[in-house]
Amino acid sequence: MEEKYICFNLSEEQFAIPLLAVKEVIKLQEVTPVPQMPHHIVGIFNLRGQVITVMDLRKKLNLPTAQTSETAIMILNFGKNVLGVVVDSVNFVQTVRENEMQERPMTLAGAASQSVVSVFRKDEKLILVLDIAKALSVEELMQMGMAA
Amino acid sequence: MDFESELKLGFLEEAAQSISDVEECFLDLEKDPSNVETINKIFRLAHNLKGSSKAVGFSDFGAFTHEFETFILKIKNGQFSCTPDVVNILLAANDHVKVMIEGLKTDLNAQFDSTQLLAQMKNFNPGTGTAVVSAPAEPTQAVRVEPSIEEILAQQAAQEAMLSNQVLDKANKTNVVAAPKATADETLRVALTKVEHLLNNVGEMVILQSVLQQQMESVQNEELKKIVHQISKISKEIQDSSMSLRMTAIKPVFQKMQRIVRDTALALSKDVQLVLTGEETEIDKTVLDRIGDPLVHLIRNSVDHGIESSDVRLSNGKPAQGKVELSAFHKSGSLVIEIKDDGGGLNPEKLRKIAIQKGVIKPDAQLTDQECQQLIFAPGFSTKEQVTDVSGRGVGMDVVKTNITELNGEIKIESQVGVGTTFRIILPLTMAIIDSLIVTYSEHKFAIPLNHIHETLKPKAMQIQSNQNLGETLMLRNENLPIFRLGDFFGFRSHVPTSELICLVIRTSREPFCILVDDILYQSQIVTKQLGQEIQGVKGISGTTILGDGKPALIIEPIDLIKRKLSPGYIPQKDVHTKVA
Repeated sequence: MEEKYICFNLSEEQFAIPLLAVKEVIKLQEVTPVPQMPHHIVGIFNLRGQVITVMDLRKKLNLPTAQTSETAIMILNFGKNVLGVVVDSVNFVQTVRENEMQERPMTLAGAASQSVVSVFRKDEKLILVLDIAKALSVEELMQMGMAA
Repeated sequence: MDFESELKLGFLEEAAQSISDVEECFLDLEKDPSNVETINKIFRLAHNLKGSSKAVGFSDFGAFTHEFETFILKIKNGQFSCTPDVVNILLAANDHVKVMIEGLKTDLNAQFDSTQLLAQMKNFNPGTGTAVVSAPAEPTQAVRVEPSIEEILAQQAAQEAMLSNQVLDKANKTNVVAAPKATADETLRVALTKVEHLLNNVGEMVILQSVLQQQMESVQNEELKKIVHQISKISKEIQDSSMSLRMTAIKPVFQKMQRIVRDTALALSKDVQLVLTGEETEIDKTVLDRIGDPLVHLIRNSVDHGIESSDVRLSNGKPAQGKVELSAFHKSGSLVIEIKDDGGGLNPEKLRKIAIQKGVIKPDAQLTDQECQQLIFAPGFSTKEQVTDVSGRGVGMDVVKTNITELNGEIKIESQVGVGTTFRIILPLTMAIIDSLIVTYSEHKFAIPLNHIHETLKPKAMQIQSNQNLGETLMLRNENLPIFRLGDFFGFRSHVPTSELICLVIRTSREPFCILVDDILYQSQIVTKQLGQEIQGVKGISGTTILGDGKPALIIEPIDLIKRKLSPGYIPQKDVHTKVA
C-alpha cells in the first residue's frame, strides 16, 4: 500500500496532505474581503466562474504571513465544499509506502500539533501529515453557516 | 452508497412524484365520481407503488399500499361510490404515504404505525361513512375482501382493452387515426449541481466574450471580426437556453392548492371552488421552492377571510358557491401570480379601526383607502377577531410580504367591498439575474439590488445634520431619514469627504433610511451566486456576483443590514484585514 502526498511549506516546516484532496494549485490571487469572518478567512475569489472562499492556514496557526512569489493557493475538496488554502509554497508530490509512515511524536507542541496525524521522513527531514480540515476547523465553520 | 440504498432512494423519488399525481386524481374524482379513467389511473399508480415498494424491501410501506390498493379496487368495482367521505379517506391515506416517503428519506429503516387508517379502509361502510372516519381506530376483526393480484390485473387489462376499443371505435367513426395517448414525459432528470456548474461556466464565458468584443475594436481583420460576431451571437443563445434549464412549470405548487382549498372550505363549512389557470407557466426552481408557503397562506386567507358563508352570499345576491381564481402568467419580463376571490372584499374603515386598536397606526393617522388595505401586511395585524384554526397560526400576512420581498418580488392588493379581493404577486422570472447598482466604498465594490433603491442623490452639506443623540440625519424634503455609512457595517473607512458621498434612499422597510456610498459606478444585471457554506449567514449579505473585471463582489441586502445595526448588542467593527495580495 502506498499513497501520494502533496508537500508544502508553512514557515520553515514541511507539511503534507493526501494528493487526492487537491483539485489544483494556483498562484496567490487578489481576494474580495468578507466582513465579520474569523481572521483566517481572507476572502473570496473567482475561479473560472465559481466563487471560492480562501483561508490562510498560516494565520490559523499563528505563523508569519510573508508574501513571496512562491506563495500559493491550494484548491481543496472538503466533501461537497471547495475551499482555497493559502500556504507559503507548494514543493513536490511524494509517494509514501505504508511502512514509511510513522506515528507522530508525542513531543509536538505547536498550534498545529493536534491536527498532525502522522509523520514520514524525506531527505533526513521530518514531514508532518496534516488533517487539514481539522487544522482549519472546517466542520465548525460549516455548522456556523448552517445555523445562520 | 450501496446499491440497495440507491435503489430505495430512487424509488422514494419516484413515489413522491406519483403521489402528487394521484392527489390530483382524487380531487377530480370527487367532482366526477363516475369517471372510469380517473379511477383506473389511481389504481395503476397505487398498484405501482405497492409493487415497487415491496421490490425494494419497504415492508411497512408495501403492506399499507396493498390495503390502499384494495380500497381503491372496491371503488373501481363499484362496491361504493365516491362520496366526500371516501375521498377523505383516500386523501388521508395519500397523506400517510407522503409521511412515510419523507420518513424513509431520512431513515431508510423507519417504521410506521398505520393501524388506524388501515382499519378505516378495511371497515369502511358507505352507509355510515362519516362515523367511521371520525371514530378512533379500533382494530376490529374484519373480513378481508381481497381478490388475488392476478384477478385484479386481469380485470384491469380487460377494462383497458375495452377502453381502447372504445377509443378505436370512435376513431373509426370519425375517420381519424387515434394515436395512443402519449403519456411518456420526455424529460431528463439532471442533478441541480450539474446545472449550476454549467451556469458558472456559461457566466464566465459571457464575461470573456465581452472582453473579446472590446479587444476586437483594435483588430483590422474582417474575417476574424465576422467570426467573433457569430460566436457572440451563439454564446448569447447558450446563455439563454442554459438559464432556461432552471425554469420549471408552476404546476406542482398550484396542484397543492386544490387540496388546501378543499380542506379549508370543509373545515369552515364553506362551499368554495378553485379555478386554476396558467399551470404551465415556467418559473425559476428557487422561486418555485419558496413561493409555496406564501401562496398557501394567501389561499387559506381568501377562503377564510375573503369568501363569505353561503347564507351571506345568497342574501347579497351572489351564487352560493364562492370562487377563488389562482392564475399565473408572464408579463413584461416578470412572473405574475394572482389570487382573486369573489368574497366580501377588504373594508378600509374596518381595517383602520383594528389597526388603531392594535396600535399598528396612531388614532389620528390620515390614510387613504388603499393605504388602509395595505395595513393587513403590517406586523401584528389579523382581521378576524378570533384566531381561527385555519388562517390564524401566528404567522401573519407580514410574513407573506417578507417572503415575497426576499424573492425580490412585490405584492399588491386590489379590493372592492362586496365584490372581492385580488392579491397580485409580481416576481422576477429568475432569481439568478437581478438588476443592481454597483457602488464603491473605500475601494471595495458592492452590488445593491435596484428594487430596494427608491432614489439616489448627492446631498448638499446642509442637508446632513450630525447629531449627538441621533447620529447623522438627512433632511430630505419634509422627511428626516437616518443615515448609515456602508462601511460602518463592515469596518471599512472611506476617505471621501462627506460632501462628496452619494446617498441611496431605501424605502422597502417600514422606516425609510439612507445609505452613504463613495460612488455609484454603473447599473448592471448581475448573476447572483451563493457564498460558500463556510461563510454564509452574514446578516446584510445575500450572496455574491462576479463583476465585469472578473472579481467577485458582495451583494448587499440593505434591510437586513439595518436590522443588524439596530439590534441591541451591535458592536461596530474597528478594522478588518484587507487583501492578502
